[in-house]
Amino acid sequence: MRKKEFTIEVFSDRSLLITWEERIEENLLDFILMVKAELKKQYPYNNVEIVNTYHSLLVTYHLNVSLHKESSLVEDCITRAINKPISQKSFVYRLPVCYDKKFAWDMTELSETSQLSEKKIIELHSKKIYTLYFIGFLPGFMYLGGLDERLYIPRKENPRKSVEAGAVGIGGEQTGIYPNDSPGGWQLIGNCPIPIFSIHKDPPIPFVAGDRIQFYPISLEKHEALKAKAKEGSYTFEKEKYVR
Amino acid sequence: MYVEILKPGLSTSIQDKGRLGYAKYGIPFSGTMDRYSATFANALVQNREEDALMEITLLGPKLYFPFTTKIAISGLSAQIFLNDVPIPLNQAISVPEKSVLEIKRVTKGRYAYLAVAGGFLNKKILKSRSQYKNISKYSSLQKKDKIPLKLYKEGVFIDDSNTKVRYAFEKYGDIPIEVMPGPEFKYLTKKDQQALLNSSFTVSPDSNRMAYIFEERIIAKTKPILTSPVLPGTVQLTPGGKLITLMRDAQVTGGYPRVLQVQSDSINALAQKKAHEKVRFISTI
Repeated sequence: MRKKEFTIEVFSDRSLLITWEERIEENLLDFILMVKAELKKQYPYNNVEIVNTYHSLLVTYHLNVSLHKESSLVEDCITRAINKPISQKSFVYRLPVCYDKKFAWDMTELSETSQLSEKKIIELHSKKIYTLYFIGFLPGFMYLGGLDERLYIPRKENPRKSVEAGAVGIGGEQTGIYPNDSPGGWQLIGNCPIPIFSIHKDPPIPFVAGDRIQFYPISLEKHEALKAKAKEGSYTFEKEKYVR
Repeated sequence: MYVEILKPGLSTSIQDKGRLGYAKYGIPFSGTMDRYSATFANALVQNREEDALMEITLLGPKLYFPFTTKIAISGLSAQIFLNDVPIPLNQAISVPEKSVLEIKRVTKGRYAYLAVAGGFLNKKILKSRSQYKNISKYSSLQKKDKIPLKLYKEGVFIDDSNTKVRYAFEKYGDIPIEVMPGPEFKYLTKKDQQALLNSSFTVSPDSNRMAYIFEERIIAKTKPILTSPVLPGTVQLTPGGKLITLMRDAQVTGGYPRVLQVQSDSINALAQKKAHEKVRFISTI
């Protein structure tokens, strides 16, 4: 991995963009998250916002600063990260998903396209451990990497006007959960009964970039029971330390 | 102590300086579209810069004030009536108890800001009072909403009746929007770069707090990108040639090439452009 090859550029009059070679790779994510941790030590307050995506980091200053001066501080953070062994403190969260027909509106289509049985699709979808690269696009929307290639399917030609919060779907080479009721073009294969995004909690979503997500199949009855439990507020996601 | 919404207007919302610190959870910054006008209105009633205001879009609300307070409305030009008597913009005004305030139309620009002494005190969600879909129940104020206010006491204010402040009208109007090249600007041909900087663009009626869209297309060869960070002021160029300038409610990541970045002060000027108005860019680098 060429972690030493990066550029720092002025992105706006209040922000700096650090970019590595364009690719989706777990090693690069791990390194970017180490840089992010160093930046967080440099800027521990909320008035400096640090966002990562697959191959970049954006540092936004909600205050007046000299970007020229900050740029060398940012570079020092990267150097410190380069000189450290790759380490990561992340969790793997296990999320229940009901793949019942009630929610899996596009299972038949996926089964036809992939030439796989529904049972096999569920097995492939819930076996993998997905990497959470970042949250973006919509509040709480997770960009997960690692979907089995056999499950790739293009988005719906005509997006649905409304998709329920918790819907689990596949769009192209990505899988994920709709955090809120919203319009959506993904092929739906299930539903997670536990809200992953809640404005009544701070942070509103328990997962952070670098965490891993795994789905496990549940029955319709279990879905209802868990949904009721989540409504009472007495549900926490199963998690354990993630070791690669 | 509260103010009641008799008529909500076209799209009136409470906004402050935004929801900072939550971009990593995919939450937009939000906050006032035109920061300069908002700061000006807050200053007139001796509020702090971070106090929440009412953002009024084109057709304004009708409000009922049961108790006395002090207000200021800022903007380029608007028709405002306090108990059916016209009142001026950009000046602090005392509101007697049982008053009806009506902001009929914003006649120049798109937004006007109503500041009230002590700020609007609707509930903070994730450290901000800014209304935004999926975070607050509604993205705009609804009829019969009652927004809490601070009890106004005569005399707690510094007497500033002799202080003259002037709204900087010259920040708006037919002035170019200052931009700098975005990360993918360098991948455009010289000709396309010139087209982007030397054309004038028309604001589309589809524009809103999330993004301003231009009607003209720039058909340029662009390099597709992996989803990457974006900010308010980021100008994206779609493969179909559409130019999308992200505004305050923008998502935090985007998948279109980022060709320009609007400078902070110019985002305020751009925010005030109405549908069908023309916009020119000028590169500051």
